[in-house]
Amino acid sequence: MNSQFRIQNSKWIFVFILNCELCILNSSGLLAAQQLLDRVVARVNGNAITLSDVRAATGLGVLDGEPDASLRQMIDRQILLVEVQRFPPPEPAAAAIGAEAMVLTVRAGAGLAALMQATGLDQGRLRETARETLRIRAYLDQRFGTDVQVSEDEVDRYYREHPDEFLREGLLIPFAEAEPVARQRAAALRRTAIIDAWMTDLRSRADVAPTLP
Amino acid sequence: MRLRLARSEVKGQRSKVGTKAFFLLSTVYCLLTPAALASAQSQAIIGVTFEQEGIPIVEPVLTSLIKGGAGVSLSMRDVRETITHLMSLNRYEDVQVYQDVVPGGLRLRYVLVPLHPIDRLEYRGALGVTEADLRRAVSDRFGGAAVPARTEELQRQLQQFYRDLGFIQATVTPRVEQTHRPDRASLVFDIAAGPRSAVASIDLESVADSERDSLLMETGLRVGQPYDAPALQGALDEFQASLRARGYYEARAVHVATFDPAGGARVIVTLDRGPLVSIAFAGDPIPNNERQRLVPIQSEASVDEDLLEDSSRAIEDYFKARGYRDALAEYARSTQGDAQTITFTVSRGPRYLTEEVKVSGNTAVSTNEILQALQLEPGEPFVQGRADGGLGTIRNAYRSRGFTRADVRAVPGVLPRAGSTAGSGTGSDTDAGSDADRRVEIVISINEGPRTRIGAVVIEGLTVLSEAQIRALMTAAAGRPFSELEVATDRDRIDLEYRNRGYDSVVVEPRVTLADADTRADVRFVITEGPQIFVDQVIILGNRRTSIETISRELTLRPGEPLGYADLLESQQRLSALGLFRRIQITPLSHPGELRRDILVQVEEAPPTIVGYGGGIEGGSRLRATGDNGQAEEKFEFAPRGSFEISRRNLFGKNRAVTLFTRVSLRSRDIVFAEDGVRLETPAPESGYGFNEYRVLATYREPRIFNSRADGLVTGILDKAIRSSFNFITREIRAEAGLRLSPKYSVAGRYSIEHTRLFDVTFDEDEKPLIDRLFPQVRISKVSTSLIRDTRDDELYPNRGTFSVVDGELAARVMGSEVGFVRTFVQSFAYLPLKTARRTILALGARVGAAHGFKLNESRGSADGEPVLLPASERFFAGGDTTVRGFSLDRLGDVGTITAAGFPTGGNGEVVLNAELRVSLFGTRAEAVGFIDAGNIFRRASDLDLTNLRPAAGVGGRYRSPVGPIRVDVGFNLNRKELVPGTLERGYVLHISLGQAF
Repeated sequence: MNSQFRIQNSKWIFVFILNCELCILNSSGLLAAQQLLDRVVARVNGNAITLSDVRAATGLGVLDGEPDASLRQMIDRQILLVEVQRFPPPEPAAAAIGAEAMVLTVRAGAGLAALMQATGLDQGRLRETARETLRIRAYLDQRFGTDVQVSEDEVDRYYREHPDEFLREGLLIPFAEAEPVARQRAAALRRTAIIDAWMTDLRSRADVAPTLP
Repeated sequence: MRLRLARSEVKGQRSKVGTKAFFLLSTVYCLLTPAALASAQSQAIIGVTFEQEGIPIVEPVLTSLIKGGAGVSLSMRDVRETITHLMSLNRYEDVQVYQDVVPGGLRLRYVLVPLHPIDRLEYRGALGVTEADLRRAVSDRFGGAAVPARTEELQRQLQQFYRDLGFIQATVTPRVEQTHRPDRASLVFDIAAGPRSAVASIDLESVADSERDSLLMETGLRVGQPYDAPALQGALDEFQASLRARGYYEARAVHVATFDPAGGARVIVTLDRGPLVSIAFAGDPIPNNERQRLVPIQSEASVDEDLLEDSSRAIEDYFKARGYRDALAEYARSTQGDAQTITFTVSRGPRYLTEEVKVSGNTAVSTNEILQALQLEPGEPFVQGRADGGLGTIRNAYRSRGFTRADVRAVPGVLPRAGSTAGSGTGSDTDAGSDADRRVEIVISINEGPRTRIGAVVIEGLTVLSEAQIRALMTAAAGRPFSELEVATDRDRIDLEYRNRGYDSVVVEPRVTLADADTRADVRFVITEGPQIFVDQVIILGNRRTSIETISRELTLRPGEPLGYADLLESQQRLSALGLFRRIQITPLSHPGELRRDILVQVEEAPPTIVGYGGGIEGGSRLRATGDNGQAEEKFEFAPRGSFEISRRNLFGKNRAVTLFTRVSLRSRDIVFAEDGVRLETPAPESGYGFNEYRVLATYREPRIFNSRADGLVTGILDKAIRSSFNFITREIRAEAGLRLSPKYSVAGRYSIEHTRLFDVTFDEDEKPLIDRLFPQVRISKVSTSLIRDTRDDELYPNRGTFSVVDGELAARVMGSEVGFVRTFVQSFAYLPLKTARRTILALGARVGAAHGFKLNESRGSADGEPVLLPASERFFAGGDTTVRGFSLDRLGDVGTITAAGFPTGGNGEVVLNAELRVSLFGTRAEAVGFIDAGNIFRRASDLDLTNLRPAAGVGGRYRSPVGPIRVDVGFNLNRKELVPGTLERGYVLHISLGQAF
């Protein structure tokens, strides 16, 4: 246990030192002489995902922003888009796309201009990203519904397994009172589980090739 | 997730390493990019290079895919697009882009990491079995090709394979080995088979003592032999099959094995014989030759419930299809000891024959149409299934006419038997005990309901197309009968129109609201157009000889233009039409988050050189002047012949083609006599044979001559042939160019020079015109042009449209011609559909020709006032199956153009008019035709006279064969003349030919 902790620690120390060195090199202009601009990080069913794609999606809040998860999320998104294309849901309205694009813009915040410059993102791609998000959402709603029915047992289990969600002034509120919320959350959990299982199946059938060593 | 093993790492390790690497890379990227890019993007790119595995490479196709090259400022958008285009080539696993800061700007370096497709499976280590066995084990499950994406499955399959053979400690480890130039990889399985288990003990469960020995002998199972599960199970299956063949249809023989620590296999064989099954039939008889087909228990060697139920159903269907509509077949099992009998009891009931079909309540659909749909003929067995199918067709007929609520029912009424006083019933015959045939009267009762007409058609959601454009595509309109089919067709047309403009996610949703007691339907088409998709880059791959320009020219998909469905298809068809490729694949490649698609055009070129040859022998009677004094005698001769053809396509990569065709026959020459009967030429019999008949044809095709849109063709012909009373040599050179101006109009220009020399001539002067007609014995050098307008909807069976051709020809001495003339020929045909119950087409045709011969110094025998006739081959002739059908071929004419001996001389003017009514029969398989023709041949062009036409009329029939219409016409001469003294022209002529008259 101890040695494992040391190994973990030393790895992060290594990353920290490397980043510091890179900062110093960068500020001194030494690395600018040869710099990686972009590259392919994965191929999904023949479509390339570039580093700048992942960065743009992360910057827009499409991915959750955790570096070690973003590539996997981007691959999943691409797999989903292929599925959406096969069984397309109703086309989102232009106004809905505009609203979603605005959400992405707000999420990017003041860094949007820099993000666009750094990743080659333009307004057209921003809008298309918003459209894709809406299409994925519509597809999932169409396929899995928005309201999953759960049994009384499942509601009860959710209430028992997540007591911290049902506290009031540090005390567990009675089941009868918590039941509507517990039902809603159990249903959401169930839906997520169903989608996750389906995604696992989709991944197993997709042709995914990460290109990083 | 299926991961392609691009390196030797296995997935789990790789995934973790990859994630950390990505994290590290992202960190570096985040730290470096903003600052460095900000300064870099203001600098100009001074060069772009490509590098593959450390070696700089230069390829035009790569260069053509660069976005924003030298001279422009660095743009990350351009970099990303270039990566996407390069990845579209499907040659690279990774593309990395580096910027090198050099004096004066930036240099971009694209590092291309090639794909190493796995094309080989290798097995290494202590295999324990032959490599062939391993390959078979993999190919049985995965086929012959390597399947790198399924490496884990392959590994499991191999491990199971070894376990089944008793190698319970076998280890199988996959890895990828790459090779370079060419970039390939092998999927290598390192195998340590370990020791193989032997059969240590055998337990036979549920096996009778009497059967133990035979089971062991037939399966070959014995202690000490290597354990082999597939072989053992195969032997048990055979044993099971032998039991089933003996009537034990439920027999099962299986085995399991457990392995002890020492490696021995304990094999347990379980045998369940099941009962001895026999099949019996009771009740009404089933023909012996149908029993096996209807009850396939023996051939299936099974008696499971599904099969028995299917058999019962098959027996019932068999009888119902023969009019026994109450037929019942039931099965029952009865067991006695170890024997089981399955008995099928058949009760077919009486046979019902259709007596009459009555239709009531129909006004919008004719009784004839209803009866045709039902397919119930009086006297034939009444088949309920067929009647039900017919009712569906009738309902659809009503729906297509706006009767959306039409109720159509068939009530079969059984008529009383002859001599019976019982009334008719509507269900099964009450006298079930009798098997006598029953007569059924079927009453089709129709309640048409209200006719629904379209009240309003509303289109919503349009932003791209105008409402007028959409309505032009639709047939649904206010006031028309409402038809669900028509609405669906309109939806498809609108959908296609959008897809042809690049809106590939368009949704067109028709919504129908019925009102006014269902007499009015308001149709609303709600259109969600979605985004328009554009073509980004067109990438052409696979062409080695064919130039990019030749391929690009045929593509109607162009960068920057909408990606239309029709363009995609047309591009594919146009490339196929070039005939240069064995395989063509056009694939749009999507870019994540982009509304543009790269178009990947992959071609596989066909061999450029085609060689063909053939040989044969021709036998037949020929007239030979071998009799006394040169009299003609029929002699049976054989003539060996051979042909050779060589074509070279795609010359210089520009789709030019050159073809040389030669045909030669080995036959004897005629023996020629002078008028006094003396042989002019007396070749010895053996030397009379030679290559006396041959044909050489050379063509050169140049598409897009002189960079125009016209295609050119140059043809040279040298032809020598032996005929009964003459031999000839023809030489001709022809150059032509054709240009399609639009879908309706095309134009062609032609120059030709030809000459035919006759020799060994023995024909009479009277026969000369006929020979001249085919073989001009003067040198003719001429230019000609044609303008064609074609709006027909079908070339062979036009329903509507027109077809017009204007031809003009000029021959002159200055061009090297021995005769000079000018000639024009105008023809026009129109096809009009008539509104009748059957498909009826009125076809009209008019042809007018006029020619004028130029006088020569040595006049071609024209007396004063006489026209200078053209060479016979250039004159107008008419009569025959495509012109005026009351006359035989070329026999139309009058005193001036038919000699006293009855030979047509042709003339300098021609008029032919036709009218034909074509009525379809038996669907559209056949046509009946009535026609009126009129026309004449005039000696001079100035003699053309529409009041001096010779009429004919007739009838005919057409059959639509796969090679075109087979035509039979009988034409009657309505104005017979005595052009040959003492002989009246024929009254009628029969024509049998292929193709329409016009």
